[in-house]
Amino acid sequence: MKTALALDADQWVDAYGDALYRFALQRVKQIEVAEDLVQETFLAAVQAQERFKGQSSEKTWLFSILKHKLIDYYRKQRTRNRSEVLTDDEGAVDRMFKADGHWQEPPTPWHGDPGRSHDVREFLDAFYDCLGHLPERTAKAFAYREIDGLSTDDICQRLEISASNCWVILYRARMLLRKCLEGTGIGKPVEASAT
Amino acid sequence: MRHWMFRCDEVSKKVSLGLDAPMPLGTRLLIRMHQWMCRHCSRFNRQLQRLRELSRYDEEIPADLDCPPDHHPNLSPEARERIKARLRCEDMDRS
Repeated sequence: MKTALALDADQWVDAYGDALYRFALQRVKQIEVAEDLVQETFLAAVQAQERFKGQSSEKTWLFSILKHKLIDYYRKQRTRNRSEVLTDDEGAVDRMFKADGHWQEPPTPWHGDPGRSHDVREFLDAFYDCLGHLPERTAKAFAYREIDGLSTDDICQRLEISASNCWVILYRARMLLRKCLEGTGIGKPVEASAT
Repeated sequence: MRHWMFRCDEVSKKVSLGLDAPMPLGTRLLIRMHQWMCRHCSRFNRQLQRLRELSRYDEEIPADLDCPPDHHPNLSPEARERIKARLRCEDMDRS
């Protein structure tokens, strides 16, 4: 006879397994890897189910776990070149501005239409790849805030840092992430468009 | 630029902070004023919004145009059963 948990876990797989798998497969492009990510997602969900407070839907919660797994996957796969771009030393973000406070390399327009599936997919691929190239702590802070929607108070507790430090890390994460995305070809030279 | 106006580096920090904490009305107005005059910071603001949208995106994306319309891959029956069996083991280990 199944326990309540086993029943729930079976239902989770039937209810959300395919959607999670498709999301993972579209990112990693390899069936075995996508299946492993889905399994790891459900395992983590079973292990953490006591912490699921029902503030979000089960689907949103499971997708959040999968997104963390994807970032971990990309971190293990990362290439050296992009890691160099995403160095998190103190001056990395300062160097994006001139001494007079103007942009050193102004943000370039991001092409693509958020309503077009191909463009969304291209953005998401680059987005998770870049997140995997961020320094781990920086990526975690960003994921807690933007993927999980945690408050900065909760992030401070999880990472054991002060609120001001948390804001600094989130700022760095956003700056490095958008710079990385532009480096993937999402952005076009400023002269090419006046978006 | 007048001394009471924000510089681009200051605006970028405040726009990011504004995504995580409440921002006084006066500060918000000064940021808006700067963005109205500076297309780079205006673009930066849109990019941070886009990052937030991407983070929360978990809708299914339709298959590529070059794939058949009904090409929606699902977990194979074998993978589905393997995952369920693994979860049952985890449940037994925990109980």
